[in-house]
Amino acid sequence: MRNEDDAGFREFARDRTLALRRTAYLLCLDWHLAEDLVQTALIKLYRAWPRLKHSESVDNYARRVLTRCWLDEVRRSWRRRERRDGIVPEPVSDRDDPALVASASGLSDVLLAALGEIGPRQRAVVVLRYCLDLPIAEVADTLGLSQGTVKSQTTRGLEALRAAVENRESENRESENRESEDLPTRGRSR
Amino acid sequence: MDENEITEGLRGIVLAEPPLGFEPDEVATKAARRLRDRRVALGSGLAVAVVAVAAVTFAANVTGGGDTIGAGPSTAPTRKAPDHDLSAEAERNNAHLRVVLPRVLSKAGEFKVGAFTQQYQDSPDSWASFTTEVRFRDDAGPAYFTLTVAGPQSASDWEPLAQRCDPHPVGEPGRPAAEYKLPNGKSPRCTKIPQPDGSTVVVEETAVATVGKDGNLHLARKSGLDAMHYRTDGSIVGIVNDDLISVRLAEEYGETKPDGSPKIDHRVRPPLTQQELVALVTDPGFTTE
Repeated sequence: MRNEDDAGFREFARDRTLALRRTAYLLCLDWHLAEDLVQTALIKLYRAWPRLKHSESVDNYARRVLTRCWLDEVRRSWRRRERRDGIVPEPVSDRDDPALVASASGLSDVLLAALGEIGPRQRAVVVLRYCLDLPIAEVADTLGLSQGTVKSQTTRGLEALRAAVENRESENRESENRESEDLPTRGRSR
Repeated sequence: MDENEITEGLRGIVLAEPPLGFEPDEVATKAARRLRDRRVALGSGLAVAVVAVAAVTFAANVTGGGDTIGAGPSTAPTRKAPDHDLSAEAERNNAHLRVVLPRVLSKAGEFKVGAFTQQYQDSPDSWASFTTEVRFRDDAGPAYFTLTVAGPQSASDWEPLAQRCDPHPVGEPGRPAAEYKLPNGKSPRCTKIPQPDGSTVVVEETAVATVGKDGNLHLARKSGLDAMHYRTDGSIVGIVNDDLISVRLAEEYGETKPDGSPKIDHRVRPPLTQQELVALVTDPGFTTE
C-alpha cells in the first residue's frame, strides 16, 4: 500500500474506531469481543482500502465488514454453545468506570438486555436501523439484503424485542412483588 | 412498553463506554504487516484479486523503475541496516537473473529487471529476504512476475511446507480453502513436486475472488500459477506469476485503448509456464548467502 493510502487509513481508523466499537458492542453486548471484532474488521478493511478510500460508502462498507465479522463469530460453535448454556454476555465489562456505569439510563439497560435475547440477524437489523438510525436502503446495503427483507426483519425484530422487554418487565414485577411480600415477614420476625 | 417507546429508546440508547483497549494505529501497523506477509508468502492457498493488484503496486514500489538487460548494474537498495545489509548478495542475484532469464524464457523479449530489494531489513524475522520484479513481452502480451529469495532466517514469513496445500482458512474466518470452487466446480490446484535432493517445489493455482451479494467470497476465474521451492537448508525461492496487465505494465509496453489511456487487461495465460517456473525457483544461483 502506498504511504498516502496508509496514512489515509490510519486517519480513518482513528476517527471511526469508537463509533465502530459502539456498533460492535450493540451487536455482541460484550466490550472485549466488540474490540476484537473492530480490530478484525479494520485489518480486513486495510486490505481493501486502496479501492475504497474515495468511496462515499466507506463507512457503510466498514459496518458491513464489522457485521460480517460478528455473524461469523456467532456461527462459531463455542459461541453457540455459550448461548445454549443460557449465558448472556455481560452487558458491562469489568473495565468500566463505575461512575459511567451508574450514568447509563435504566431504559437503555432494559433494551440492551432485551437485544441480547433476539436472534443475531434481527438484532443486526434493529441495531443498524434504530440505534444507528440508518435508512432502510443503507441497512440493506450493509447486510447485503433486499430492502423488503430489511423491512420484514425489522418488524420481526421489533416484535421480538418488545416481547423480550415485556418478559423482563413481568419478571421484574414478580420479583418486586416477592420482595414486598418478604419484607413484612422479615419485619415480623424481629 | 409500546413500539414507539422501544424505537425511541433504541435511538437514544446510552452506553457506559470503557476506555479504548487498543490503539488504532497499532492495528493499522498489524494490518500492513499481515498484508505484506500474505504477499511474501505468495498467498495462502488462494490469492484474492485485491492482493494481486496490491502486489503489483508493492512490486512497483520496491523495485523502482527497473532497467533493461544489458543496461548495466541495477540500483542498490536505498534502505540500509548495518547488521542485515544484503545489498551485495542482492546484486549477485540480480546479475545471475539477467543471465538465466533469456535462457529460460527463450521466446520472450523486452526484459526489464528491477533491483532485488531487501524491503524488511529492519524486521527481526523478515530481514533475510529480497524481492525483484521482472517484466517482459511474449506472444500473449506484456507480463510481469516477482521473484523472492528468502534465507532460512525469514522462513517464518512463509507457510510451512507441511501445511502448504492443506485446506485452511482464507478470506473469511473459518472458511477452508477447499470450500472455494472455480466456476468449473473445481478448487484451485496445489501440487507438491519432490526434488531429487529431498527438497520440494510447490506449484499452486491462484484465483480472482470477489465478494458476492451474500457477503461471501467467490472465485471468479483462475488468475495465475505460483511456485515456491522449499530447500533442505530452510531457504525458499518463490515466484508470483499473475496474468494481470496492470496500468503500469500497459503504459510501459504501449498497450493502450483507442483514447490513448492504458489498457488494463488479463493475459490469456500466466507469464510463466510450470516448466519455466520450476526452472527458475530451483536454480541454485539464487541465494541470500
